[in-house]
Amino acid sequence: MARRVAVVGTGQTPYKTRRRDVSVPELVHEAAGAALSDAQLTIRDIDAVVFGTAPEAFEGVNSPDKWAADAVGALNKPFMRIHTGGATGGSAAQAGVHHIASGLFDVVMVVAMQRVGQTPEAQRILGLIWDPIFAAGFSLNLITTVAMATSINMQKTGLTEEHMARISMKDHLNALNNPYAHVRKAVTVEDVLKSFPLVKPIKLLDCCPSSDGACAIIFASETRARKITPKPAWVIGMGGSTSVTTPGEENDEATLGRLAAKNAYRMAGIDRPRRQIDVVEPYDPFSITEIGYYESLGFCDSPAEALRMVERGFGEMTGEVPFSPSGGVLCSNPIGATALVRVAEAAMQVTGNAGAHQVPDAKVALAMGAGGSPAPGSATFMTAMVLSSQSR
Amino acid sequence: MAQRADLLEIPGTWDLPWTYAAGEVGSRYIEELRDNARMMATKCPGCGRVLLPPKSFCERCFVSLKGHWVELEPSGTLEAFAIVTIPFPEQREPPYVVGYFKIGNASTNILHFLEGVDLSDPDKAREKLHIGMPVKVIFKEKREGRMTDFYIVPAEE
Amino acid sequence: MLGDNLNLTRDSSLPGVIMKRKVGVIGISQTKHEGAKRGQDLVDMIFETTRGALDDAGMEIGEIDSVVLAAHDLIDGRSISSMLLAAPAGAHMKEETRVADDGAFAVALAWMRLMSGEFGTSLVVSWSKLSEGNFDAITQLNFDPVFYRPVGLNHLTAHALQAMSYSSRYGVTEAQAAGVTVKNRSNALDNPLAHLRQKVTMDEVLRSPLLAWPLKELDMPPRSDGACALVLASEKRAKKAKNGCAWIRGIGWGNDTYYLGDKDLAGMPSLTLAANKAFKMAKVNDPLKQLDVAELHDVSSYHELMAYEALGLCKPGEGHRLVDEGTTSPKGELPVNPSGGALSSNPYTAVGLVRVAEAALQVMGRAGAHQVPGAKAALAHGTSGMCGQSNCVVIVGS
Repeated sequence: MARRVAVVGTGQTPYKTRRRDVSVPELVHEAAGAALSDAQLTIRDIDAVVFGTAPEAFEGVNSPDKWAADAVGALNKPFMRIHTGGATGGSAAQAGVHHIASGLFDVVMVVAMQRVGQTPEAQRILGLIWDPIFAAGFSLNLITTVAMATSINMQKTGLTEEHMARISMKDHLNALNNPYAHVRKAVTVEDVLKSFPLVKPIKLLDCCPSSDGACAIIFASETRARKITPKPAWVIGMGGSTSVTTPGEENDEATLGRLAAKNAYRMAGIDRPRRQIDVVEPYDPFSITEIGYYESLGFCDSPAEALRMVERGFGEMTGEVPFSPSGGVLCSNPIGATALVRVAEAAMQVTGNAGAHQVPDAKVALAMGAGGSPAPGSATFMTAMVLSSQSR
Repeated sequence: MAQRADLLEIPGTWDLPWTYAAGEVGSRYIEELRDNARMMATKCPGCGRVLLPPKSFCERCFVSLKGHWVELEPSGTLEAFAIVTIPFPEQREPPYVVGYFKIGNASTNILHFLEGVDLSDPDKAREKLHIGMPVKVIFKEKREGRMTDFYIVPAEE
Repeated sequence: MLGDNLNLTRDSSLPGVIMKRKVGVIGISQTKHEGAKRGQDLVDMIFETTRGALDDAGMEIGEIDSVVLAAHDLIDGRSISSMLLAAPAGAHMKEETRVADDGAFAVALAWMRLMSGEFGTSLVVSWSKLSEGNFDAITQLNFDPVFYRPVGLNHLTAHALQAMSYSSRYGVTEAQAAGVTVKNRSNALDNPLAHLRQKVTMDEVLRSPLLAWPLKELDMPPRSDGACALVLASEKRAKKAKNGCAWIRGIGWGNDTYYLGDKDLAGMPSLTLAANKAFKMAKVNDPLKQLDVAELHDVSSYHELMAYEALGLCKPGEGHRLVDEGTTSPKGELPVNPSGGALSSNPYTAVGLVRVAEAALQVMGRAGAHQVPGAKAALAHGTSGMCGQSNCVVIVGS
C-alpha cells in the first residue's frame, strides 16, 4: 500500500449477555467515545465513519447502522456499513484502512457492534443463513457444522477432546485478565470435558457465549498518526479470502485461513510466522478452531505437529506464541464486533496497552476474522490483519 | 453508577414471509427427485467437477452449468456426521444424525440426515459410524418435491 | 472541461490529498428489470449479470482482484445473504467484502480499494428480488422500535412526510411532481432493460391511487427484480479495455441524521455534502453546464425535484421548473434519468449501481436508444437509508 495507516485509538464495551441499560445507539456511542478518549481526539477530528454489524435479526432493526449513525458521529460525514457475518469487524477494519490508503481521508473511525442478547433466538437466526432449497430443515447450524468438521478431524489426525479442552482452559484463564471479557471463570480440562454436550464432540465449554457489545478503532494516515500518538500500531499487512466449500472437500476452512493470511503476510514481509509474529488474536468461536490455525497460519506444517503444540502449551501466555491473550472469541462473542475486537486487542498488544493480559515485548500481532460457514453452496469469509509497533 | 433494575424492555417480533424462486437448476433437481426418483447433478465443462447439490454455475471457472446434467448412482459414503441430542428451534425432534455425504461421483458433499441408525445410546452410535462408511440413497414411495423425498441409510460394507 | 486529462487532482478540503491514480469502469451489465423473475433464483440472476460484466470487459474471473457487493439480508430473505450470493458474484477465492447500503456505495468502496494501489481490478455487484419478500414489512423494520415503529412510520409514510414537507414549504404542486413521473416513464420506452415501459400521462399520475398523501402510486417506483454488475480497473488495465472506459472523475458520499424530527425534511443536505466532494474532485463548479447527463435516485417523483436542488442545479423549491421547462428532458440542457430512473425500474439495493452503470454507458456512447448525444460527463447518484439519510455521488467522464 502506498500510504501507511496505523491504529491510534481503540475502545471496547464490557461484553455481557444483555446490556439492558443501553439502546443500540447508546451501546455504540460508548465504544466510539472510548476510542476517541483513547486517541485524545474529538469527533471533529474524524473524516469518515465505517460501521460494522452482522445479521440485523439480532437487534430486530433493519439497517441498525443508520439508526446508530448519529451516535457514532457520522452526522455530515461519509458513512457506510459493512456486513460479512462473523468477519464483519475484520472487513470493516479493512474498509477503514482502504478509506485512508486511497488518499481520500486521513482519520477514520470504525465501529462495530452486535446485540446477540437482544433476541432469545440466536440459533434460529443463524439457522436462516442456509440455502432455503437445499439446506433448510437439516438442522444445520454453526454448532452441528463444527461438530461435523471436528468428527472428520478426530478420525484423520488423532485430535482428542482433551486437546480442545486445553485450549478452552487456556482461553478462560486469559479472560480473567481482561476486564472486558464476557465469560470470566477459570475452568479445568476436567470441567470442559464434563460440560454439557451440545452436539458431540462439541460441549458447552468448547463454545463461545452470545454477547452484547461494541468496539471502535480509530485509524489514521502516517502523518496524522505520528501527531496523534507516540505509539501508533501500524497496519503492515492485511488480506482476506472468500470461498465456497463443504467439509470434506479440498479447499476447506483451514486452507481459507491460509489464503487470508497469505496476502497479509506478503504485504507484511512475513515468511516465518513462528519467528516473526509475537501474538495472535484468532477468530475462534470454538475451542477446536485455534488448533486448525496453528497449521493454516503457518506456525507448523502438519496437523500432527499442531496437536503436539497444544500438548506443549504453544499458545499459552507463557508459550512460544500466545493465542487469545484476551480470552478470545471463546470468552466473548458480540458477533459483528468480534473481528474488530481482535484488531483492537492486537493493537493494544503491540503498543503495550493490554494491561494484565499484555504479552511481554509483543511487537507484531496477527488478528483474524471469520464469517459464514462451510455448507452446500455457501461461502466462508476470512480476514487477516498484521499490526506492528514499527512502520515498514 | 447504580443501574435501575426496572429499566424498560419493549417486546417485538418479526413475521416476515418470503417465496424463494428455486430457479431452473433447483427446480429440475427437485422435479427429478419427485417424478423420476433419480439424483441429478451438474457437471462443469471447464474443471470437470460434478456438483451436488447442483449449481447453475461453477464458481471456479465462472461459467454457466445450465444443461450440463449428469445422473448419479444412488449410493455413496459418509463424509462427516454429527449426532444431535438437543432440540433446536424449528428442527426435528432429537436424537438424529445429520451428515455430509458423497453421492455417486459427485465432487461436492450433500447435506442430509442419516437414517436407520440405532440412537438409543448416542455414544455407542458414534463408535459405529465412521468417515468413509458406505451409504445408500432410498427414494420414498410418496414423493412431494422436497429434499426429503429420499433418505440415506448405511449400506452393507 | 471536466477534469481534463489530469492525473492529479488536489482536493483542498482535505489538506495534502492528491488523487494519484485513475480508476475507470470497463465492464457493465444489467439484467432486464422485471416485476418478478420467477424462472430465476437470486443466484442465477446474480451470476448472469456478473458473467455479463466480465464478458463486457473482455475479462475472465481470474483477472479480478477484488469483489465488492451491495446487498441487504432482509431484502434477500437470508441472514448473511452474501454467504449464498458471494459465489455467483465472482467472489470465490477473492478478496471480497459487502456493504449493506445502496449499490453506489459499493462503487465508492471498490474505488477506494483500487486507489490504495492494492488492487488492479474489482467487480462491483448489487441486486434485489423484491418479488420474493414483503418490502413494506421489511422496511418498516428500519425504524426505531421504541419511538418510530409504534407511531406508524414505515418507508411510505416517512417519504410521504418528506414529500409533504418539501411541497408545502415551496408550494410545489402534485402536478409539478407528477411531471417527473411522466418524463421518466416516457424515457423508459427507449430503455429495453427497464421494468415499466409504458408512458403515463399527467392525468393518470394524478388519478393513480393515493398511498400516503401526497404520494400516489405513480409518484412511487415499482417493485422490481434486477441486478447490476460493473468491472472497475486502474488506469493501466482500463486503457486496454475492450469496450472503452468511463473514468471516475469525482466521488463523494455523506450521511445525515437518522431522526426525522431532528432535520429539515424539505431538503437532502447529505446529498449536497456528497455532491460537493464529488464536484471538487472532478473540478465541476457549474454542474448544469459542465454535466451532460445525470442519473439520479428518484425515490419518489418529489425526491427527484429535491435532488436537483441538493445538487445545486437550481434554487430550493425551483426543481419543478427544470422539468416544466424541459431542461431535464432527453433533449434538454441536462437530461436526467434518460434510462427511466427508479420510477421505471426499482431493484432497490441495486438502484444506485444501475445509475452508475447508466452514467458510464452514456459517456462511453453505449446507451443505445436513450443515448444523450455527445455525452462526456455524467453524474450518478444513489441513496441509502430512509428519507435521503445517506447519499453517494459518482461523476464519470470519457
